[in-house]
Amino acid sequence: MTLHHHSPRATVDRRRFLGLALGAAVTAPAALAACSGSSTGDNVAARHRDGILRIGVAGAPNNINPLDSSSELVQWPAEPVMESLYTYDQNLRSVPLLADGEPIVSTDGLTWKVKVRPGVTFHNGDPLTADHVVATLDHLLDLGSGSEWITYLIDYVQWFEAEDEHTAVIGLAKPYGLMRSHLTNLPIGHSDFVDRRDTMMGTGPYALTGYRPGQSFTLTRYDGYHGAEPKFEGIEFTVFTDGGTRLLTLQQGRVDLITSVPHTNLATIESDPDLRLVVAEAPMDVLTYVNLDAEPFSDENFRRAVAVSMDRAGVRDRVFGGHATLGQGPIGPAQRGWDPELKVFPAEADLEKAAELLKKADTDRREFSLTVGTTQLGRDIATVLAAGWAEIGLKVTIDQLAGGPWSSAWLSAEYEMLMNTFQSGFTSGPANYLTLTPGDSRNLLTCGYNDPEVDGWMDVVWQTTDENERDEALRNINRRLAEQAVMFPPVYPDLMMAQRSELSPIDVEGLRVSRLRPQRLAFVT
Amino acid sequence: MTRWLIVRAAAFVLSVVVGLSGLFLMLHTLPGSDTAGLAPTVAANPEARAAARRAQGLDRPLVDQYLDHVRGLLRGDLGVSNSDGSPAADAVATAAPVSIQLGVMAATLGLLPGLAAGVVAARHVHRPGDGTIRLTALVAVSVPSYWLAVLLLVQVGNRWPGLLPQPGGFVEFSEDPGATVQSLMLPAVVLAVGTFGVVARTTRSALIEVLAGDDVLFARAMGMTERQVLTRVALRNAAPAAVTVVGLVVAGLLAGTVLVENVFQVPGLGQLLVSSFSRHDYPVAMAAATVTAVAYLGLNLVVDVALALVDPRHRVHAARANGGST
Amino acid sequence: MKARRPQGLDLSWVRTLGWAGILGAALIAAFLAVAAAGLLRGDPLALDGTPLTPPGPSHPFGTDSLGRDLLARTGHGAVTSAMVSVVSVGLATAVALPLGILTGWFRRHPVASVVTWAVELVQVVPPFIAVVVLLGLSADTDHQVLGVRLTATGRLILSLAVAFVPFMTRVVRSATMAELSSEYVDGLILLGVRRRELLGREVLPNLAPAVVVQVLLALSVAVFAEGGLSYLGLGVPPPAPTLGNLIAEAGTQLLGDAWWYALIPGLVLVAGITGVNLLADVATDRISGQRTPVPENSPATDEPAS
Repeated sequence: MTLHHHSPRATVDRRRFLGLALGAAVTAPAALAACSGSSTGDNVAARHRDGILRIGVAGAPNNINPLDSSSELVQWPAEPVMESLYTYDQNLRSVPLLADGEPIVSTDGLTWKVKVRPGVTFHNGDPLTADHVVATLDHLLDLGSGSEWITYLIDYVQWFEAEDEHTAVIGLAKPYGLMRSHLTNLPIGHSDFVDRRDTMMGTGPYALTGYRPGQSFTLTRYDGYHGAEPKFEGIEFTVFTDGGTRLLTLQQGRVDLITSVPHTNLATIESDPDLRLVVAEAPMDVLTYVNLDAEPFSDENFRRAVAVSMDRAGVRDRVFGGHATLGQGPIGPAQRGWDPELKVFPAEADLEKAAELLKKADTDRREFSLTVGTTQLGRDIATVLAAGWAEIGLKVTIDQLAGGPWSSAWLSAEYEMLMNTFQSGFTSGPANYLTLTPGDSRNLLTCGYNDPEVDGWMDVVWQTTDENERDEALRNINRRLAEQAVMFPPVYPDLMMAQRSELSPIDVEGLRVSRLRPQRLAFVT
Repeated sequence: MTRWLIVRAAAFVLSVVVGLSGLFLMLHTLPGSDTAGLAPTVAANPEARAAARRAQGLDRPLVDQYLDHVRGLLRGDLGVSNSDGSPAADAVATAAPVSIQLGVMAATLGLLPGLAAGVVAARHVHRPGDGTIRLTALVAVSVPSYWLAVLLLVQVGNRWPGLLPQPGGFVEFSEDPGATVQSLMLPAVVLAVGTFGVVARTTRSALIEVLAGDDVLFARAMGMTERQVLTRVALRNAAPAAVTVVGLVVAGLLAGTVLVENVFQVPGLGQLLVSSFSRHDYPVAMAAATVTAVAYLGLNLVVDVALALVDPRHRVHAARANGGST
Repeated sequence: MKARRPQGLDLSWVRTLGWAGILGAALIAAFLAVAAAGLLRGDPLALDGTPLTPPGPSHPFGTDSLGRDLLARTGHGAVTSAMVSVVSVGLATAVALPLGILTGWFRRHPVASVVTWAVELVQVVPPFIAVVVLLGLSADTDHQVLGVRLTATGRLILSLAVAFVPFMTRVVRSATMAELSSEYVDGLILLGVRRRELLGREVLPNLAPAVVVQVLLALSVAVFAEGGLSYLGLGVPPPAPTLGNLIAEAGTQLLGDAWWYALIPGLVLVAGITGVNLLADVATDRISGQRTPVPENSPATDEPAS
């Protein structure tokens, strides 16, 4: 799970806007004008002769250790480099990758034995052994390393050891239904590199051979790869923080694929025959919930009034250019437990019903604060919502907090309504269990909602190994938290990318678990 | 003179010490600054927070930390990035040359036209030519660099992206001088506009003052031609002012690069300073600030000494000769 | 730097200045007109237009990517920018005036020496960098000042004020010392005028021109700095509009062909800064034409070099 805390203000974009005379300094370089157009296709074909796939991404991670951060900024470049014990197949089922077959689980469910596949080597030639699995877990569970995985594992994973060279054993404190999911997502790193934050060493088809902080990742084909021979000579990820530049480099054929397409670019992409827009449902959340321990949201009528008058369509259209599904409960369309039937809230704000509910409310408060992170996205969503609520006389203060203070506010429950964007997939696959935890009254991060039934369903979600039972519990939680107006995101945004037509289509199914899998693409002519 | 130099150098050292101690104190008395580098889900866990503090040595007494910090600085150790664990000194060492190149290019582009405009204006003082130059220079110092940069970025970048600083692949000068110069051209032009304005204005007023001075009157009375007066007497007398101009230009460029580098994503010191603050990497931010401040103080010292050598009268005022721009 | 007026060019000099003064006043008037029009226009946060509408009858300055009216935003932004600048420079002047006069007046007193020395010391830190550091470090924490929670805008104002204090103190101190060393002051003292009276009646009024020039210059620097800091995300937090925020938003959002987005708020900003600078220039010339109270290395040249 990723909390997006990149500061969007620190970087700026190159943009088209015409009609500005900027003087001689600008006109002089006109002679150097790069031309694009009919020859772009030829240029791309020529560039492809080096066999290198080039991808433009939106940002640079600070720490590139894929064991620490589940941010797509780290994980996308890491996908071809790192591998996990199990992986998702075409239908998002978990199948062995580095593991030699299914895990052997004790009858009480507390001991997991996983054999690693023989003949697998890291990029430095070292063979993969159970020791590396142990070193990886060691890193994750070391509180000082700050790995995001710890939130998932700390209460469950009690001990682990290498039983022999090829067998890792993991002991749990209590049955853990999500264990298989974690083993399917968790990259296994080389023991000498698990603590490194400036490089990565894995067993994947490509090795990380170059890294310029904040600028680029260079991946080179690993000849000793244990699987099918990689198609590209190399893969290069280049950071273009601004959407306009990213799109421009794609149009000019300097890159084959760009991530994170802002909605204002969509028309340009759709009208260009050489480009293809990729829109996918993905586990992206606009986590939104209220603090029930304090006025005004302790008042159920107030909560409902706010929820029914939320300008969901406004957020979808103004912020996401229509590429989002309108929100109901906390679980979105790309996640387990998604309930397409659930219709608690209207698309357009229901101002009459809200006014009615406000009349019935005991609280006199007609203003509240909305705490968001410091991203442009969070700010835009909050701005649209605040303008909508102003129409029923609710005054909303937008409180923007950076990472540290945001988590302080979160932890100490010093918020009224809280919102942040999360992209999961790399930690929990097609689900985002952590976003539900504020609804659990026993959790450290509880939002003050106390519902024993929900708490019971939460236990089922985390502990059952029966997928159907888990999905059922998730649907129940989703419905209850929406009906009680505790968690009600405005929308579930789509994931958007753009690629050149000279590249084989991206697998949209993979994007359901945020996987880009660049190593599986191919040049087409 | 020697005594003055010693006093001046001592003041420099004192400024550095006070400045760095201030930075250290500010950083370490801020609540939450230690764990800001952690993911919020991790920071939410008190145990994880404590462990992170321990790992960074922040649980020790402040005095010990300060002494360690000073020892580190003396060894050239600027601390370790709290995001990727690499030495902050490395980040600074990569970024500083870029800023220096940018600064040198901007100064080159701005200084000569500025000097020429200042001289022309001073010689035609209060005539139309002067008015035009004054207004141009005034507008040049008034146009905010970040706005000009955004306009150029959008306008030029959209049409001739090859001229943009290459995001994602900044080329080092040693690798390909031509590419570096090309990619720094736009930011350098933006910075040069302000430099031009300051230089033109300062040169003009300094030269006017000198041209009204006694020795110029004397030279004129002795029958020197205007050209001779200008080149032999006036420009020489204006030397102290020229040194001051250099100081001003450097100060302006220091502030300007912070903004302009951010607009153009030039991976220099200014960009490093702001981006490390925005990702809460305080050790790196502090390292960037420290190096910038020390460079600035050092340049101040150099300018002061140069001024004192050129014109002993300036010794008294030298300490104040370099007001920076905010 | 003094611009001592050469002989025999009075008429053209006056003409030039008059023209510059008028231009400066006109630019400031334009800035204020936009501010007023924007305030009258209504809520700068209301989503009352189609996103990215070009300037036209319904939206004279166009709309932004969320559909907010840019006239309202630019106007409110201009007000905020002006307010931040005026308050921070005002605060700095309020602190610097007594500090500068006292240290200039009692220049032999040890306390005055220490203060002067401290001011000189702080002065050598690059101010913009100092403000960036101050704001960067304080951005993550809540600050209480006298029991009131300090907002981001408050922090911005205070940081700018702190950065201006040494500069203004130096100006006031030098002007006071120049004033005290002039012959007429000695004359008045010889005539038996009490020093306190001297301060109120003679020195203070004579300080005014020099201080006004520096205040004007500081204002233009503050407007510039507010924009730059907001641009870097260290100033007034969006969605509240300031001119710097608007330029930053135009720079970070996808504009399509929205040329008006960054251009118009930027022009308003340039009008404000240029106007104030022109007036400061005129004032400098007026003063140096009459008398020379501005100290040798006048900060009149300390302008935003970028």
